[in-house]
Amino acid sequence: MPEWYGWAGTILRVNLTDKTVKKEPLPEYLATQFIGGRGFNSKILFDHLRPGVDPFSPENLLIFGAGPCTGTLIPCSGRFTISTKSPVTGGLGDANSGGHFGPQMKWAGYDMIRVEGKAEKPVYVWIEDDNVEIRDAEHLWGLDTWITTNEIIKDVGDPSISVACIGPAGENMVASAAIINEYARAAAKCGVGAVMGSKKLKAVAVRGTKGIRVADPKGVVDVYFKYVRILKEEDEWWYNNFSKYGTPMFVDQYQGLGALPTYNWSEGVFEKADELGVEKLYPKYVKKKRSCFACVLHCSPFILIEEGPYAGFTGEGVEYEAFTGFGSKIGCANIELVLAAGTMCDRYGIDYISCAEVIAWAFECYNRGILTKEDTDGLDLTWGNEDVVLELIRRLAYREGKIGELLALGSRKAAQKIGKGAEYYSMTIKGQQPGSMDPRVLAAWGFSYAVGNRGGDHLRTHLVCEYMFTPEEMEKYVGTAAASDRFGWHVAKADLVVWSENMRTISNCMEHCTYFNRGAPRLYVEFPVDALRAVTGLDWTYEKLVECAHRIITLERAFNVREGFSRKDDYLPERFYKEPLTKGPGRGKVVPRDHWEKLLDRYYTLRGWDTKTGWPTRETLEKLGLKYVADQLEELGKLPGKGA
Amino acid sequence: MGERYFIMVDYQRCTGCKLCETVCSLTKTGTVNPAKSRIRVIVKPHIGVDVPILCYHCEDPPCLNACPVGAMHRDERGVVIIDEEKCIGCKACIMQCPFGAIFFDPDKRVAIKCDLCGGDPACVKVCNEAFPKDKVLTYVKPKDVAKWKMLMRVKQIEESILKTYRAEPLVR
Repeated sequence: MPEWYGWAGTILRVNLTDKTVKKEPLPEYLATQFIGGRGFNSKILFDHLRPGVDPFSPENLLIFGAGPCTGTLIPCSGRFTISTKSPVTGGLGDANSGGHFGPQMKWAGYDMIRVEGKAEKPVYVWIEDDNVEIRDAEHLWGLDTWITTNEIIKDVGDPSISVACIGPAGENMVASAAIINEYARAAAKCGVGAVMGSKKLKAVAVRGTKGIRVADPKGVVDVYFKYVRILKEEDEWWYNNFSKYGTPMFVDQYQGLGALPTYNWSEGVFEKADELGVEKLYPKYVKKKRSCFACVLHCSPFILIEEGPYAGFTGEGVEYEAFTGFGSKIGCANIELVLAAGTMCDRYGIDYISCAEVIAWAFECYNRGILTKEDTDGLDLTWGNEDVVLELIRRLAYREGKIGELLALGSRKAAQKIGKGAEYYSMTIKGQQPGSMDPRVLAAWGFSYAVGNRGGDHLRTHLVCEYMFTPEEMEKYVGTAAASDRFGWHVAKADLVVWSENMRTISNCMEHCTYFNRGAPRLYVEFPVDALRAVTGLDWTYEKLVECAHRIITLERAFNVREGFSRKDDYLPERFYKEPLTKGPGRGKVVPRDHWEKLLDRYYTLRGWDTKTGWPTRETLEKLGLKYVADQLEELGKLPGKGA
Repeated sequence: MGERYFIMVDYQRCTGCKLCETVCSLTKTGTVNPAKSRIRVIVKPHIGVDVPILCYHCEDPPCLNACPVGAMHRDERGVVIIDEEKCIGCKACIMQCPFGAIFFDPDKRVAIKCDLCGGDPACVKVCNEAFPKDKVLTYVKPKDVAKWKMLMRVKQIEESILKTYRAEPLVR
């Protein structure tokens, strides 16, 4: 067995069906070829899930994966990934979260916690170093995430443990259910909470006291100081503002770019955006700043509403997505509603991107007469009617009434059920809605939404470098200066998306926050190499990391191909191709449909995938050491050129 | 006698990132393991409470007075130190500390506490790098504490006045 530095070296397998716990050594090839976190999870999912498996069946896996840097001094390294087959997209699903859960599980000695099977009665898993127990959770079932966390802390008797749990939304297997750790950190996307609910697993609580060995302790401290200083010097504007305001500052920023989704993405500027700006938020509602583990950016505002109809709401980390979701997307301009709704989502265990998405869809359908008062149980969903929002969230979480049942499906499935052209207004890609930046004015970002392998998603690329990098930087690092115009649809955008996807995959695998490397190119190309070298003691290079990223993305693609995805799924919702924006800096802009095909061709070519189908080719798979994947796809008739 | 220092904590500004715990264990033991850290942060995210707990190096330390085997002493700079060789792991010091700032090493089975890293505390450096403007941990001399506190109070009052009166520089 190798000496592990950085990685803990053990995979924990918890089987809920027969209540057994197994520990397996981490295979060395997994560490060197898939780095950690998202890479590990995707590999295990591909290898162990049968194609076409029902996401809610006991066969589905729910995997908590940490990376080699998780829980070390590497800045912003408090993250972990939860992966499963997604009930929302039907393909590969993963969700990334911060807080202290990832570090705790590493300190307890595990790189991955692999949950298998399905419990008969509600249970929670308690992990303290080598001791792993599957405990009864009947007393916790039905409780919200905050009370659940408090109760488990009481059970265990230690406030410094970390709890990842689901709320009522997860228990009711709502499409937008998230897994919440540390009260407000959400592993949100892809309906991971619903899968956890289907397994009757209420929570995973962990306390680690074994610690992590790093190869070069002094080197890790040096990496910390070196790169925090680079962040401050080379991305100064970002550091100063983001550490002061956090993500709510994007409301002003994207409004300025004309990319603030308004009235369910029909516009790019919101006439009342001033009401949602940081000036309104700070300092009136923000009492202090909080952060995830090892964070140097501390973006999370702790909020308290002291008076008015929403008095008494406290919460942490209400993000930009809530400001658009419960603000501009439905035409509401009440910041207190945004804060209250964000907090309620955390407590019910809901992802507020997906929740707001389906609510905005319902608002638009109601205003267009597709949904009637009969469908909404008498609720009035006129644009801007803020009184119904909290009630909608509650009904969604408990699947209460007709409207609750409908919203719980997520907008794509709900639209299919309703018909009457409602599908046009479901702004989802592969069933999932992307983050709130309008693709009509942020070209590369828009393209990455469509090709992202967990469905519409802004974090697979987090493409701020599109407008942050200078053309010279773009030329030097991405290889083409043509990608730096945010309105332009040059084919070079595909190059930029490939590069960004690779960079973010590395971030998701070593598990550090993508807000850390944003505008400064050195933080993309030098930081991961130095950090991984100091932590693991292995001889990483930039090229090697990019190859790992390419391997992971191709494997994830293969997972989706197995589930029936192909080129036809890599398109944006029709609205973005058809309806030009009418206001703001993006006036008259649409996504050019004819150009889209060229971009897709270029993207597949760069990835080494077949341009006709979007499937990975045998040549590419074998080059990446994934021969068995090619064999499996061939057997299924899903290898390009072989019975395609 | 050397110049005396201690680490002052601003609870209002702490965000609960635990960088201090991490670097403390890394410096002291070579592994990242907050269970061996000499500074601990208790976080309660839902009510916005983050409390770093560490030794203030009391002038009349109850822990030192409680040690039955003389394993603790104050050095010439006033730093309260545990001699791990002499410590019998009785935990009397842990029980006596009014702040809960002495911890138990689960492997070595002895009491552990902050020794200010011999005058250059790693936690303060790492914390100040992450919070350059609003210092959470400050390495100060005891005689300066009152001054710090006064200035903080003045700043608070200044801020409240500036909110009331518009005191921006006049522009022609």
